[in-house]
Amino acid sequence: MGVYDRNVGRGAVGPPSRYSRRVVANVDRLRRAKGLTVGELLSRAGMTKSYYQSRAGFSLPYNTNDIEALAAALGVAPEEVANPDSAPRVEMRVPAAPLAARVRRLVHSQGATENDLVDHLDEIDPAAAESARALLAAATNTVVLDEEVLRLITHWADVPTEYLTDYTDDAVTDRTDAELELRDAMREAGASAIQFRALGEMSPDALRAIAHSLRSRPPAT
Amino acid sequence: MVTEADEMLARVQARADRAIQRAGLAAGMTFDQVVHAVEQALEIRLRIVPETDTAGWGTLTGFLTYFADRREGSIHVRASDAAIYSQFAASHELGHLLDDAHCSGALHERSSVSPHDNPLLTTPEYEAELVAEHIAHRIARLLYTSPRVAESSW
Repeated sequence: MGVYDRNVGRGAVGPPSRYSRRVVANVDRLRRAKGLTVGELLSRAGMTKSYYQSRAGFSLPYNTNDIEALAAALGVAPEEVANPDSAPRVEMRVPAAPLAARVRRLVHSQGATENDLVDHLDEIDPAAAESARALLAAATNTVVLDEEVLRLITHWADVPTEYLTDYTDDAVTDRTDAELELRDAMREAGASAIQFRALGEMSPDALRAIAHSLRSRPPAT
Repeated sequence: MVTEADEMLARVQARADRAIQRAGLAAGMTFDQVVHAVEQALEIRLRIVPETDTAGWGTLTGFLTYFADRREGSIHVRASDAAIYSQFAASHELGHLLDDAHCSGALHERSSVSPHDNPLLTTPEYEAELVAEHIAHRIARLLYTSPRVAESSW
């Protein structure tokens, strides 16, 4: 969710979304396919180096004027630059400490260790394991990761991919945190299964209420 | 012509029939007797817990937690609901327990009724919810349409 800026009367841009990161990947892929250097692309698109770098470095998203200018510079239709399906692997810059904290939260929810996660990733893709290790050990404010690494971690932890890839989405964060809280409570109580009846979608608060009830139950006799 | 929906409904009704037979549920039983019959049929202990602090429940009407290692379960309902409604919500959870496919669950097994409102449910989950709801309706009919209840309502 964006932060509303009252001074200028519109939402602040914020970090690039998953879709916006795919547009960045498309620009890079098409530039290479056309045999253009970054300098040549910027010259054709009328874009400054610092403006480009803040987009290519995943700090800010391109706007639609940028997409049009880049498409013209690349000799393709704007739709080709903007098509998310044509970007199979996407890198993203993430804030290291908050993301590492989320990964540790997932490790805890699985009753596992960081080594268990890294070993799991290593079996799938050693490069993904190395990226996860780098994230967990990062001393810098931000790190650049292949989005696939985050997808593999969320798949292992059985949570929505967006919990790590769209970490600014408050709704996804709230719901996933509530799910994790419920799992923790189930494990602590020794519950093997839970079923519930609800008239419509369960809110995160309802999941927390179940977790609270599990934690408040009298000990087994 | 038999559609997929017809086939599913037939399966749901057959599973509900088996569940009712499994616990030997019959007209004239009280709700407590129904719960006891389920305990005996499944050789488990059950507690019905009327929850008083339901501020965060929202759309939640009841839930079941099951502890396989202790062969024990607890069904939580809203204390503030009318008895007839909370018994129905609890009966839905009894339905899950009695349904063959749901007698042993994985750690994070989860579900919710109102499958029409939950596009995330898979077809087997959707079917399991329908079975539980059908069983709850059957239990309600046993509890509230028997002569015993009619006579005692004079």
